[in-house]
Order: sequence, then C-alpha cells, then structure tokens
Amino acid sequence: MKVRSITIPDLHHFKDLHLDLTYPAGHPKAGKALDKVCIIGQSGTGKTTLLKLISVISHRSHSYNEIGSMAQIEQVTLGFEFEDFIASKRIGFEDESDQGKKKTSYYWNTIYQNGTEVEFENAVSKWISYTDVIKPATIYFPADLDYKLEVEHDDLLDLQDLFNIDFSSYSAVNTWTIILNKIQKYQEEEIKIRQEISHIAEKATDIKAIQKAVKKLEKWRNETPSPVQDIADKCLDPLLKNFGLRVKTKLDFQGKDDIGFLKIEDFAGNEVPNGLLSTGTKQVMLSALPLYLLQPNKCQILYDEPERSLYPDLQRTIIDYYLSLTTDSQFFFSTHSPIIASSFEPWEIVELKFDKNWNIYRDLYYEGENHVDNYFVDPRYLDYDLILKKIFDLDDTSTDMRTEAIVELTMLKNQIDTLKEKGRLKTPKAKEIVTRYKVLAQKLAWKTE
Amino acid sequence: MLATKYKKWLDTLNAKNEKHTIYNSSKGKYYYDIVANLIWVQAGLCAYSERLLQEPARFSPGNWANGVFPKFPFSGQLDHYDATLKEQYGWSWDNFFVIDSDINVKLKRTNIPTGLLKPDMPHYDPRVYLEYERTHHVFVPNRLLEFPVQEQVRKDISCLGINFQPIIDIRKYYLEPLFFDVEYQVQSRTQVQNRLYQFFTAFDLVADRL
Repeated sequence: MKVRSITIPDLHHFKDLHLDLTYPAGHPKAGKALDKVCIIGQSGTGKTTLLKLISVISHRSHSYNEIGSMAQIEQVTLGFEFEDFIASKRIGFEDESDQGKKKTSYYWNTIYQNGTEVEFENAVSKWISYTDVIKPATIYFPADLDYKLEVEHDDLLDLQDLFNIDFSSYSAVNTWTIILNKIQKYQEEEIKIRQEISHIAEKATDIKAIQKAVKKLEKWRNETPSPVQDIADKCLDPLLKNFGLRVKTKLDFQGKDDIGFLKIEDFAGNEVPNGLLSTGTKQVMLSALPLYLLQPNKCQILYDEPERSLYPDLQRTIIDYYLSLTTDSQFFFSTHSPIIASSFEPWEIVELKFDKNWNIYRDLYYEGENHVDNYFVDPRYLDYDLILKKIFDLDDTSTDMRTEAIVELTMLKNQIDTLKEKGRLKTPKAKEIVTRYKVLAQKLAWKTE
Repeated sequence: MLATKYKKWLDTLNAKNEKHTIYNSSKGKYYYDIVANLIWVQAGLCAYSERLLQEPARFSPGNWANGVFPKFPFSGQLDHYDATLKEQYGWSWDNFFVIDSDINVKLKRTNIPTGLLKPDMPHYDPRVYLEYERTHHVFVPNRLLEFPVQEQVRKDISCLGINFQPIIDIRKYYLEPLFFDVEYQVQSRTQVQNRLYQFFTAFDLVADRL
C-alpha cells in the first residue's frame, strides 16, 4: 500500500493538519501516491512522530503510546491506495475482555476502485489477500539505529517471518539470520554436488565421467556466488569502497555458529575488528543490508535521519541506492540534510513549520493549483547553497566575512586595473595591493566570479 | 516635518542646550511619531539597504493628527547613525534612521560609520561613492575615488549592512528579472523605474550599463 494523505485533527503541535502525498497535476504519475517522501523541518516539528504515526496507522507497526494518547490517534485518518483501490481508514482501540488490554482495529471510510465506490466487504477481502503476500509490510530505521554487530545466535530473530520490522525495537544485526539461511542452503547445495562426484568416482571407471562431474561443480560455483560474495558484490562493497573497505569473502568456519556477523577487511586484506569500524560504516551496512536481503516489495520503508554519520558524497547517492533495492515500495525519510533533500522532487518534500501559535503547518512550494508548473522551488535545480536558502530557510549561507572579502577583493581588483591603465603596476604601492589581492583570493579559493 | 510635537520638544531642548532624556526606544513619548515620520520621508525604505520595510502611504500627512501619529506595528528599527550620541543626545532627529532590524541587530549595533554614506547629507549622491557588482549583487566603493577614500567607503558599506547576506538575496531576486527585462527590451528602463519600489540605487547603477 502507499499512503496518499494523512489528516491529523489534534496531536501535540499538529492541529488540523492535512498532508496531500500524491503527485500533482501535470506529473506523469498525477494523482498517484508519492513513491518517496522527504520530511524536513526544525527540531520539534514532529518529523519522527509523523513517521511513526504513518506506520502505526498503516500497519499497526509501532506501539501507539510512543506517539500520543489513544483518543488523539483514533482521530487520525490515513488515505491510501493498494492495487486499484483508493480508501481511507482510522485506527480504533477496543477493550479486550479479560486482561484489560487494548485491541486495535481499523475503521474504513469510503472506498473506491477505479473511481467507483465499492462495497466494504469486497475491498477488505482484497486488502486481506493483498497483505497476505506482503512481508515485510513496513521497515522502520530509527535515527539511533543499534550499531551492535555482535551476533548472539540464540537471540536472533528471523526477520523474514515478520510483518513489521522495527529496528528501534531490535538490532539490525538480526539480518544475519537471512544470511545464515542462505549460507546453509549454499553449503547444502555444494555438499549435494560433491556427493554426486563421490558417487560417480566410486562407480565409474571412466575418468571422463569424473571430470564431467567436477566441471559441473566448477560451473555451479562460477554461476552461484556464495551468499557473502553476493552481498559483497551487489550490496556492500560499492558503498564500503568509500571507506577503503570491503567485505571479507573468504570465510573459514565449520558451522554457522562459528562466525559472527559479516567481516570487513581493508584493501590489503587485513580484517578490521568490529570495534574499529566507524559509525558511518556500520550505518551503511545496517541500513542497506536489510533492504538487499529482504528485497521489499510493496513495502513501506521509513528512515529517520538517513544522513547519520555519512559524509556528503555518500548522502548524495544513498537515497537512489535504497530505492534501487526495492520494488513498488513507498519511502518516507525524515532529514535535516540539504544533500538528502536534493534527491527529491519538490512535491515529495514535506516541510513542517511552526506557525505563530506554535502549531505545525506544511510550507507549500506552489501557488494556486497544485500543478507541476506552479512550483516555484525545485531542489533538483538548486545548488546546495540555494537549497539551504530556499528549502531550509537559512537566511545567510555565506558568512558576513565572505561577503566583506568579496567587496574588498573587487575594490582591490579595481585599484589594480586603475594602476595598470596608468602604467604603475611596478610601483611598491601596486605590488602591495597585488599581494593583498592574491592573499585574499586564496582565502576565497579563487571563487571570485 | 510631520512629527511637530516631537520637533517642538526637541527644539526647546536644543535652544536651552540641554541633554536629552534617556533614550528608551519604543517606550519614548515620541518614538512612534519619529518612526512614522521617517517611514514617510524614507519612502518606506530601509535607509541603508533600500529594502522596502513598510508601505509609506499610511504615514502621509493626511494621516497625522496635531503632529502626532498613533502607535502601530513596526518590524524595523530606529537606528542612531552615530551611536556615541545615543547617551546624551539620544533623540536627535538628524541622527535617526529607520532601518531593517536584522541589519541593526546583527551588523550595525554600535559601529560608527565615517559619514560618507549618510543618506541625508546635503547633495549626497550614492553614485559618487558606490558601484554595484552584479555577479555577487554587492555594493563596492567607486573605483574613481582615491584609494584611501575607497577604504573608508568599504568600511561604511560593512558597517551599514548594505551587503547583509539576506538583503543580497532579496535584492538579487527582486532586481535580476528587471535587469533582464531592460537588457532584452521586455520593458523599457522608464517602465521598470515607474514600478520600482525598492533598491533604487542598485537598479540605477546597473541599468546605466545595460
């Protein structure tokens, strides 16, 4: 499912907030839910709350009491689409008779299929069969992702069994279960082929038959990289190379309990202990691996502050990279990073701001009708300086010192030109001005035009 | 002079050569009269940056009663051009300008300019002292000035916040489409000038070269 809108009547600073999360008119996907959403705003504007709220109402994936009271959450309406249905729903809390616990259920509003209103039962049965085949339905990456890389085999969760994956509740290192399963299957397959060779060798007098069987093993090995090699080649090494690292693919272990998490080595082959890996390295590994291994389809993926510990060059590519690991999914990112924001179309940015009463509103980037032609800000066309100004509302991205230096530099240049016209460039005064100019230009990285 | 009550009070003090009562900004009896009068004579502009602060029409002579203007919401600030006069002569008319509040808070503060760029000087002509560098949208000293005077002008440009970064952005965003129109004859210079409501000096200095 993809979220099309959210309406919050009263939750903390959110008062009568309605967010339209569809593509605007004039867009090739006009009227469809956004594929990715970037939530920005000053600290305290409720970005994380919004992420959690969306996942709670979508799939009951978070504990509601992290967000607000039951009465507040019950009022929130989520517009969404799945297959060719468009609907909206609210979450409700009911007493469970014996233990005083609350049971959640959904209240659906009007449902449309291809623009026509349909029976509730029809839509709900479609919804049930739709969600039956989706696993996981949500993946949530908190800002404070657990960077622990030590595997305790007895406590590992099988993430492939989970409908909602919430990495604020358990460590992302649980993805190791998926890799272990893959390694086990790989080893079983290898053993099977080796057994075939043994059988042939026992019976055959024909050396060619043995050679043929061995070739089969080689062919299988060539065509079927080990799971660790696969992760290295297709997921982590392209990212880890930014840190001068790669996945250690030569594994020397007997049983799956012998190994911890993936091992990382430098380009000289020296293994880097987990404790020495930077938080940026761990962030990349633990945020990309779950997507690569789970191959989410029609999933809702929520990242709080994906820029954490990442250098700007990686921030520039990480969003597209995450998207490439999924199919037909919807992403929600909450960020403070102008570099992350530059990966989004203007209608995909939800900028939350305080109004004069300290309530939250969405700062719109268009005037008049919500049409692509009416957007006056587009981060894809702006350099980072302008993104800071136009999207993040930073008044002065250039320091006063830089501006004053530009003025001084221009003045000095004019003086040098004047001296040149008068044929006085060789005078001590001229040399003094030229020296002053060059020192200042150097400080400005010669960005003088 | 529209704030006649204030003027009368000030003239009396000056005639007796008395020090002024302590300057206490908007708590002062004549504060809003002074501000309203300045907005009118400054055409609603920040005296230094020429950014429009407030529509001046509201402060026209017809809206005054007995030389007094009622209190009103005001987002700019009243600046003492020479801050050293604030203590003893804090209510001097000649030392007052209405300016952008950010400039006052972040740049001007107690900095004392040389007086070369004081906007109400008799025969003051910004063209004598300033050039406009369009690439960065900053004012720079006029290259025709003696080099030491250029240094003085440069310091005053800084002190008065004429090139304050947020103002530069607003100025660029406002002027560039107009420069384009004049350069490529979408509008004549006169047509643009008739609609111009801020940044007059920057426009003139660039339009001369288009």
